[in-house]
Amino acid sequence: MSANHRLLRCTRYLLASVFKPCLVFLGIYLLAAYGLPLLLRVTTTGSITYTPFGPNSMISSVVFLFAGAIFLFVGSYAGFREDYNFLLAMSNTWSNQYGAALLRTAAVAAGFTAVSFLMGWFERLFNQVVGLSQINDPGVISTYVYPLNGHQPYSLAGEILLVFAAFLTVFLFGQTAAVFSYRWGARFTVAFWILFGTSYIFLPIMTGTSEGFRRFAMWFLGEGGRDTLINVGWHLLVVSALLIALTGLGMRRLPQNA
Amino acid sequence: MNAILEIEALSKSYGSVEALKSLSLKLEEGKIYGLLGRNGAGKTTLLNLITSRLYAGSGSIRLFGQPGVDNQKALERICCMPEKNLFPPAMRVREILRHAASFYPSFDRDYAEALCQRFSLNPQLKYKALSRGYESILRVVIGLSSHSDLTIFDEPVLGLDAAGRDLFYRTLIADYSEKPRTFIISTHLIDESADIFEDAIILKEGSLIAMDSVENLRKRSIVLSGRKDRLEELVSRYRLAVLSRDDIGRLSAMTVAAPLPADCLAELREKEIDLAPVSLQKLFIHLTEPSVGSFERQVS
Repeated sequence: MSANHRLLRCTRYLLASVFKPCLVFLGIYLLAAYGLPLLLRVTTTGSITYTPFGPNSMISSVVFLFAGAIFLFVGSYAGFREDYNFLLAMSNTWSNQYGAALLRTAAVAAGFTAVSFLMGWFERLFNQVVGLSQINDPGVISTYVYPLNGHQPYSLAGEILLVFAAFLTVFLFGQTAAVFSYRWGARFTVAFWILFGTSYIFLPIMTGTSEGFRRFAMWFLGEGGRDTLINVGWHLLVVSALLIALTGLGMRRLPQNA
Repeated sequence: MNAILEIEALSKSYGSVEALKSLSLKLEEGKIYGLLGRNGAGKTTLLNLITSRLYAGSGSIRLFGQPGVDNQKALERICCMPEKNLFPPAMRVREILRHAASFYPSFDRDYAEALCQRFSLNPQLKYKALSRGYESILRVVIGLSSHSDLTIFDEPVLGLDAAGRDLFYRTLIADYSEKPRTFIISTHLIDESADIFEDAIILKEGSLIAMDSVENLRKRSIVLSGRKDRLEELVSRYRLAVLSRDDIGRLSAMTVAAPLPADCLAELREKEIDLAPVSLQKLFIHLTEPSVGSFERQVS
């Protein structure tokens, strides 16, 4: 068996290991996003439609970006140990596993991006766009992320880049954390979850107290730039590249920890 | 015979604990090796180092004549079924076998199915639903069906009842006779598995203390039993190296280094002292006692 065959088999195994959880997640999401509002919405006076999620609101593709990101982060974190141990038992090297993990990450991020866009296009088809500002706005070509007004091809490209990079980053983030948890055990795991869990407190504080950090955050989020989507997309891709390097360092000669 | 595995001065530490201390050995192809040692002797560490599941602090490993660390070409010729659980709990036995077939080039799926039937392992069950004995059976099925050039079992009969263990030994011997290849079997059940080993590798506190054919190891010592006073006098006069002794009242059984001088052998009959071969387990227990040094040192 050539090394490439082996890499592909590892990738196939890793894809198979996430296929069922992804399918279940998508099923639940679609049911919650489209099934529940259809069943439970009540139309009152005027044109306001009430759903379990508030007036005139629909869970839609933009929410999928967040829900999918959380799912990918948690899933990649939780599934790493099992996958790594099994592939070790099947006589695979760490480097083979690393390559396969990267291929799987790219494939899953691409798959989730495709689902987001399909969802967005369906919403357009049924005139269910994301924000209230977008309703009945014929100029909107965006699927969901920003109410883009133009017809420039790069808008859509920027959107694809952003969504793909976002899914890629969260998947890699979860995987990187899992690799170091596997390597260093409880010490890292506890520290990581405390830091991650409290980040929603100290990140805004840092933004408010440190001018440098605030400017970096604004730049990272593409504020003030002309091509916000493309900028944020590229920034996330750079973060992904850093996470890929970090995962590689973590996985290098990663000993079995079962 | 060709060397399938060559280990040179291999050392591995976990913090301040030295699990392996400059261990060197060479295994030939087409043999069944028994890897023996007390708990914490370094057996599992050694197996994990061979399969690049752990990394050594120093030393070298060569597999099939090539550098062995992280060498995918060499690793795919090895099937190592560990004692610890490395399988996803929610995966069905059938799926595990399907994946194993895709990773091991010589995996025989028909044979795997036949073994499942022979050991009454239901392939539809999820791994987490298996008892400890059936977990061991699954590992045995994968290990034997892989037909790898080097197959390693770490505690393959853990949790198996007597009938299951017997079936494993018979299946292993039948499979080995049909397709000779190298096996390393790490086990604590020495007496019942001694007959299937050609060579035994005995580790003690991370060091190799003996490695030879089981036959030769057994020949190196002998059990003398009879009246205590007569035995003591004989041992003292011929300066025999006593490896172990058990006293029961006026009787004593002493394991002594062999061969015995011809005069001594002649005297045994006169003094009504019985002579019996030592069991591998007995020898192992003695050799791995904390106060006992290497076999070679004791008998030299």
